[in-house]
Amino acid sequence: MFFDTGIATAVELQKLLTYLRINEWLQDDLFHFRWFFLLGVFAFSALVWWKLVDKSRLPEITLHAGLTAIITLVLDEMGEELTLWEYPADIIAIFPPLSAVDLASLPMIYSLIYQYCKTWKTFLWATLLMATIFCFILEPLLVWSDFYLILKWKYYYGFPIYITMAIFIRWMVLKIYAIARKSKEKQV
Amino acid sequence: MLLAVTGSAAEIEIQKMLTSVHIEKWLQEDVFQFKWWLLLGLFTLTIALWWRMLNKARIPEILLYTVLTTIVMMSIDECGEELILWVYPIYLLPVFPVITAINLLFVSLVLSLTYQYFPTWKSFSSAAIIISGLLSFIFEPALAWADFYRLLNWNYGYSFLLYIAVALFIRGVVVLIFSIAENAQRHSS
Repeated sequence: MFFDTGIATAVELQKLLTYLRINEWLQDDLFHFRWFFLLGVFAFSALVWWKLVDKSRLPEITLHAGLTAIITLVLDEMGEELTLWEYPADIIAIFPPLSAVDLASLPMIYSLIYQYCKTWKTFLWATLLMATIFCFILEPLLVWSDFYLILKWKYYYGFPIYITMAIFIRWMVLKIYAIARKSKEKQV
Repeated sequence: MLLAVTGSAAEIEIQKMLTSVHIEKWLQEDVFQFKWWLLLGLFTLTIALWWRMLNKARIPEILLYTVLTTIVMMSIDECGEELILWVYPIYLLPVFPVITAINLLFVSLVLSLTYQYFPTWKSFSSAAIIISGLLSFIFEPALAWADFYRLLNWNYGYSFLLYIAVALFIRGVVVLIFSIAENAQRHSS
């Protein structure tokens, strides 16, 4: 036919997968308690972020949150495709990482830690604390309440990832602002 | 048999099969083949050109635009692939193919340069329309011709409208973010 076999099979499987997801979502998720709860988590975290964020540094903090969101989405989707984990509850039926608790919490918390901790030392301590809470309190809680399913994964695997991500993103934002400063100095 | 397992269990099984098809196909037909190298070259060239043209003094602002566009386009791209609107027959990496097909990178970087070069709403709107036209009626058909991109339940006209909408929306958000910051700085000083 029009398709070569590899892609044709992938498209058929994708069709089936999306169909199953939408079905399951309509039956078990949409307008159920967990669905409203998840929506509440997103609204709550956006609200808290907006209250706490330093408005005079908004572009910088949003850049940090945006970078965190991209990395979170990519890692979450890769883990889901590799069936390392799964998000059983979704606000929308497709692209599950988009409505996973991770996206509601990581960009917000990471960017606030970035905002409040101005030196590497305080930042690292805060990150260490955050990674510990995430891996050993929050994630088990999410598994227990069935928002998150670990398939081929252990809680402590996430620990170095959370820390590396935080360090990398802080380094990157600082670097970006340093490049801009240097470039402006040259112009003057 | 598949119908016997319900909900999440079935989804996980299908996801497993889909990923293994992606990886299998990638190993047999894509990786280290001519088109794969071509894609890698396009990736590198796009990033290198973008970096050269980027106004470094305004890099935090332009990058904010790039990052927000990437989040929105990545979500739309993945949703469209899941809804069988389009498919990417070749990608650099077999997991999350959408991010290593060339479309996402190219569109985000081109729109961010448009943002950089056209600082007023009026000039930006006209530029956004022209650039979106080039992206959807020249760039995308070229990709489709070379089989880097296949439209299944989609057409170039939809892409055109989508790019204009995203370009204008993200500019609105970035302008708003900067005006909030300026207001806050004025109040504190």
